[in-house]
This record gives sequence, structure tokens and C-alpha cells, in this order.
Amino acid sequence: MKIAKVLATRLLYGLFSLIFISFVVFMADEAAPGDRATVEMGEKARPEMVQQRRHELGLDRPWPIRYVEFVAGAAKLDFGKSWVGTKQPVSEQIAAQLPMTGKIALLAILLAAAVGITLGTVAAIWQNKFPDGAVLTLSTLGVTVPNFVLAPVLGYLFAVVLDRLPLTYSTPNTSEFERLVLPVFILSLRPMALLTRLTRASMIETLGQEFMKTAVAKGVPFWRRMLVHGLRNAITPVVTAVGTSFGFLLTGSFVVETAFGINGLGKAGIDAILSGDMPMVQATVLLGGGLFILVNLVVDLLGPILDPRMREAAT
Amino acid sequence: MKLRAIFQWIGISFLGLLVVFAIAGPMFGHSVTEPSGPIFSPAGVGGHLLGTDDQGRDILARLAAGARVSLLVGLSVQIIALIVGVIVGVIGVFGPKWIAAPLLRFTDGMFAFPDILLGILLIGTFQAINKGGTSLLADALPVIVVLAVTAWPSFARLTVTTMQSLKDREFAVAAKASGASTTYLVTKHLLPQMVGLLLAVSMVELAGTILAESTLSFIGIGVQPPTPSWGSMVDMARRNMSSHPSLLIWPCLALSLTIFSLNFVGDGLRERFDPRSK
Repeated sequence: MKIAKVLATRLLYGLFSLIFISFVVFMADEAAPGDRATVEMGEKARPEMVQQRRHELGLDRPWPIRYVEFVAGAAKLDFGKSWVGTKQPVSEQIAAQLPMTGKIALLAILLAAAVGITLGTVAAIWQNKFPDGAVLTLSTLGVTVPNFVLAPVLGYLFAVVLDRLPLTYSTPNTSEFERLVLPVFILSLRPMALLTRLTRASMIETLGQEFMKTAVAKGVPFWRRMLVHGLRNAITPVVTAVGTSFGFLLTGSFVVETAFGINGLGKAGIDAILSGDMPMVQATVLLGGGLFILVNLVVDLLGPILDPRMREAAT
Repeated sequence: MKLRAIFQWIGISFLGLLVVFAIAGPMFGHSVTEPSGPIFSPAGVGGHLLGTDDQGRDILARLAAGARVSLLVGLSVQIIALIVGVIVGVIGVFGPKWIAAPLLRFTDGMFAFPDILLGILLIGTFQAINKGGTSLLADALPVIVVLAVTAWPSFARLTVTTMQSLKDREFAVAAKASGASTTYLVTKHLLPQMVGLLLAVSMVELAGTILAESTLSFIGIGVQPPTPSWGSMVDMARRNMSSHPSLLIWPCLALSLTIFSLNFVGDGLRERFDPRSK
């Protein structure tokens, strides 16, 4: 029953991280000059009036009380209403934006995993030969060219010069596929490069082990040896990295969202900062952090399921 | 591995040129923040070697100023992160347990939190305080602080793992046996052993920092205008892409080449200094 204990520890650790993030998020608001009262009353308001409003909103109570209120609200996914713009409840705005971010992150990680694992396996099988060199060079390029450089350059190439794909997500008369090709491709490059390198390294290590020689001696066909004996054993760290990368994509898609005008969580967070909408900033960060912790938790649990050796070690 | 050696030399030469370019920037004679000609003037016209941008500002001068910003932010962040990270790491290894254990736990916790979210939160807080400064440093300060906060944990972890393996080596045990204090051991024996490795790693991290700075500036929450940053120059070019695509070339090229060079030079240094990477 050790697995239950490991699970409980992980859950507890995740909960602690979440509490820590909520504290940092709350304190950021405290440290920033101006609060809901000053924003509502405008810059010209007399100090007494702002003070009066602050009292009405309960902002003049000590911070520990307000922190507990904040956490209690956040636990019910209630972050209050935006200070600016439509002044809608923050949770409604996020509910509208989260699916989009989730969609492009999911598509990007699927693409990255499919291409990355294939290229990594190819590179490992022909280690130090031409395919290996080509794959390694490509994956280095994948991490050196920044997303926000790729977005306009590829956008210019495919939308303006070739006129094949739309430049922004809101371009009319285009299919969902055409609108998402560039953002998803650009988003997938970084995890793709990472997964390629990781698959290659893990695969090379596995291929060098004794049981691979046994497989050769037994006369197992080449591809069965590579895929069933090799890749199956090498895949566990890769799957873990797929999970972590997904976490990063969920919280790191704002460049692509900004560049292509996609209304997702990342763009909402940036817009909120630019307009000084603190509740929205808090909600995005807290939610992003929560999702990140959740994904990592799932990844931790996946390890023993995929790898019997880890199951053995845990029980 | 011959190709990599060539790339490394290209990287070193590019970085050398970049530093010269950044320092020589003010000598080009055009204002960085004020218009000095018609908007979107093409390259080579009216003394503007690379033309002008959407406000008639000289692109070459802004590119050089952007290089200064990138280097200033990158180097400051790395220096701060290096100092904080090494101190935390040393305390983590040699400090009393009641302080070392929570400190290391906290460092691990920082890894579990996506940098960029923390950055966004801190910038959001800073944004309200800073209303467009006057000096380069004042404009770049929030970005420096934010990136330093997210950069130190990797140095702390590196210091911890390296120190733990170094402190049980014979020379360290011998120093300890001949009566060296912990401070003496750390400063005279262990840290000098690590200098090369730390330098190499901070070179690669520098690429990450410069990338992060320009990313923040690209989405509009980094170095604030009119102070130029390569990131905000890419953003400006992107907005005028359909009519003036050539604006994209220079900031994109400068950024990509810088990051490419730092990665290759850093990897090369690391291979020299880190016995494990061989």
C-alpha cells in the first residue's frame, strides 16, 4: 500500500504549492499601488471618498482576513469581477477563454510528441550517421529561433507572400484547420526539439543494454527489436516530459496567442496586465499554476503505470 | 564534431561584433527615441543605413540601443542570479540543517512553478509602480528584477550538486584536515574549481534571459517604449508587415543570431569545464 502513501504525499505537496502560489498572487495585489477603490473612483477622486469606498468594499480590514476570503473565493473559482472594461465576473471570462488555450496546447503537444518521438527514434537507430546529424541540427534550430520571431516570419511567408493561410485567427472565410496550422506548429517546435533529444538519449541508452543483445541472438526481427524491445523500454522518461511540456504549453501560449490574435488564457492575462485589471491577472496566474501542478501530478502517477519497474519499486 | 567547432567560432565572432556594435551605437549620430527622418524611409536614404521605422526613427541606431538593452538586462540578471544562486547553494550544502533544508525545498518549489507566470505577476505589480522612467536602467529595472527572481534557482541547484561532489574529494578533505575553516574551504578551494562551469552555464542561461526579455517586450510588458528592445522592434515590424516586410529582417536576425551564438559558445565552454558532459 505504499502507492497510496506516495499519492498522498504528492497531493499534499501539490496543495502546499497551490497555497504558496495563492499567497504570492494575493501579496502581489497588496504590493501594487492602487486597489479596487482607487480604480473605481478614478484619479481625480478626493482621498476621503476613496477611503469611504474602501470601507464599503471592506478593503480596510487587515490582510489576513482578506487573504482567507480570497482563498475561499478562489476555491469556488470566484475571483470577483474585472475592474475595467466589461466588468464581467472573471470566472466567466476565463471559462470562455480556457478551451481555446487547451485546444491549441493539446494539438501542439500531440504534434510535438508524434514528430519528436519518431525523429528521436530514427536518430538513435542511426546514431552518429547522417539522419542523426540532421535531426540534431534541426532540433538545435528548434530551440534557438524564438517563437515571436517565427510567428511573423512564417506568417509573412504563408499569409502575405504565398497567400495560403490566414494571418490572424479572426480572418473570415477560413477553416479552423487553416487558422490553427501556424500557431499550433510554432507552439509545438520547442517541445518537439526537447522530446526529440530526450527520445534519442533514452533510446541510445536502452539499445546499449544486454537484453537487446539477447534479442539479436534470439533472432527477433529488426523493427520489432527497435520498437517493442527498444522504444517500449525507453519511452517512460519521454512520456513524463510530454506531460511537463504540456504544462508549459498551457501556461506559455501567450506569445502565439498574441501574435495570431487568438482569444485564449495567455492573451487574456497579458491584456489584463496592460489594462491594470488585477483580479483577472490573479485568476490567470492562479489557474495557470493550478493547471501546471495538476498536469505534473498526473505525470507522476503515469510513471508507475507505464513502467513495471517503477511499480515494483513503489510497492 | 568539426561542424560544431566552426559554429562556435562563428558564435564567438558574432558576440564580439555585437558588443562593439552596442558600444558604438551612439556614434551613428541618429537619435534612438526621436524621429530623424520621414517614416518608413527605405534603407540607405537620407543617411539612414537601414532606413527608418513607423515613427521615422533610425533603425540602425535603435538596433544598437536594443543590443545595449539586451546585454544590460542579460548581464545584470545573470550577475544577480549567479550571486544569489551560489550563496543559496553554499548555505544549502554547508549551512545548519534548520535553514538549509527549507531553503533547498524552496529552491525545488521554484522549479515547479512556471517562470513566465511568476514574471507576468511581478510585472503586473511593477507596471503600476513604474510609469515610464527616464534612464535606461530605470526602464529596464522591473524586467531585470523579474528575470533575476526566476533565474537564480538553476544556479542554486548547480552549486548544490557540484559542491556536494567536490567536498568529499581528497583535496577538500585534506584542506579540512589541516584545519581550514568552512569559509576558507568554500572560497579558496571549492568555488575556484567551479568558476569555469558557472561561467559556461551562465552563458547558456544568458541566451534564455535575453530571449525572455525580448519576449516580454514583444508582448508589451517588458522594457517600456520609447526605449527600444529587439522584442518590441519585432512587434512593430509585425504590425507593419504587409506594407513594409523588410522591417522584420534586422531585429529577427539580431535576436536569432545572438541566441544561437550564446548557445553554441556556452555549450562549448561547458564541454571544457564540466567533466560530466563528456
